[in-house]
Amino acid sequence: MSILAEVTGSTAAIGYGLAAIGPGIGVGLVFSAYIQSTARQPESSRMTLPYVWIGFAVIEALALLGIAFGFIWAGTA
Amino acid sequence: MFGQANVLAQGQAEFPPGVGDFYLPSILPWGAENSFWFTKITAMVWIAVGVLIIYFLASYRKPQLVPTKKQWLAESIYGFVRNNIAVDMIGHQGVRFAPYFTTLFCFVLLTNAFAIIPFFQISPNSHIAFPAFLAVISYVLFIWVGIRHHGFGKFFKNSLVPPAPWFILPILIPIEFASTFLFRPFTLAVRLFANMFAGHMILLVFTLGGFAMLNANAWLAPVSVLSWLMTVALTFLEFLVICLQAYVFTVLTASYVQGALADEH
Amino acid sequence: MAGDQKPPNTGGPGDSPSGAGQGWTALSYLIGGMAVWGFIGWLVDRWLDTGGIATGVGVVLGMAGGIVLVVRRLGTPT
Repeated sequence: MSILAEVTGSTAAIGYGLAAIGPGIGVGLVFSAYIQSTARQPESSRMTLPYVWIGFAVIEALALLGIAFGFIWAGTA
Repeated sequence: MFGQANVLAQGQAEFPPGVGDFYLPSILPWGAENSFWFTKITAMVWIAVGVLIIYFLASYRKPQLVPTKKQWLAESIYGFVRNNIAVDMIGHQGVRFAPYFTTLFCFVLLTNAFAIIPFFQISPNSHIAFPAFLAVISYVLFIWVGIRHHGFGKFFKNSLVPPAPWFILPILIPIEFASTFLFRPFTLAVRLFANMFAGHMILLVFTLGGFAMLNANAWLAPVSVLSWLMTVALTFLEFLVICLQAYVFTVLTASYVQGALADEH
Repeated sequence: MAGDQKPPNTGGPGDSPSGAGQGWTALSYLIGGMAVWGFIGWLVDRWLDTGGIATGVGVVLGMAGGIVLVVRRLGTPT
């Protein structure tokens, strides 16, 4: 079958671009929820802050794994 | 900067400025080939130290209860750092560190400000040596404070062993060690260095770019004005970066000291 | 406005640092975990020459460790 369109070079960058969409939205949601809850009730900011960091860590992990795997298996298919 | 500009005006220097432009000619011995004992950078650091010493001494010569305008300004700088950084981050124990934090904040702010003051136009912090040494001082400070407050064993146990079940500790301890004792000084130094280096490089590109376009051909000459307008705009941005980096450096040092003083997480 | 109280900022030594400090520590735990165990994995790769697998395992392990650290250090509401 003849090659119609060929992508040369590292596809890792494309992979990372796709991988960063989810975490970007996720972290945005976490912090917007925190800002709204602090706006509604300022004294709750200290109590909800720990949960912000749990959410941030778990979500940001996906994006960081995306970068790491991009470098480890820089597929040059 | 002006040396390069008129050299470029006569069309000798190549336009895209490189890292080489950060190595300034030596002042003492005048014109010696790559001897960096006493260049403009060293002179600027001495000037910054001199200015700070004279300023704070002069404003506290005869302190009155009703402060004179000069004394009020010095006190407000000290008050800002003590209340917003030292006490806010470290609590009542922070007052002990307020003098050092004020000196650190003023020194970093002044040396950064040299990036946009005419006739200086480069910040000594665009050479890695100065931010690196400031980071080493902060590094030694927070370790020393932690050891003196908790004692040697307890400090390292407190900062290296997180409250987690024992069987995953071997995974966590290297991470804790790396992020507390390796990444902190590195990020502290490189953050300040990179901001000042990039800021100077951007201003160089737009200024020398204007001259390069001026010499290029008749069509590009008007565009060089646009490039210089961009330089003006970026100088205001650079002023924001200068203040922000001085503040962030001091706040993070205070945060690290607070982390060292903290009893049990 | 319902009296704009400033959130109680004890800032005492026992208290965790302000938001900025926590943010940087959280990120440094994640990246640090990945870097440390990724590097160890890479060493194992070169030693056993398993071709990139050990590095991947190391990175995932380090990331898991980083998350546990963030949860333990920053995520337990005192």
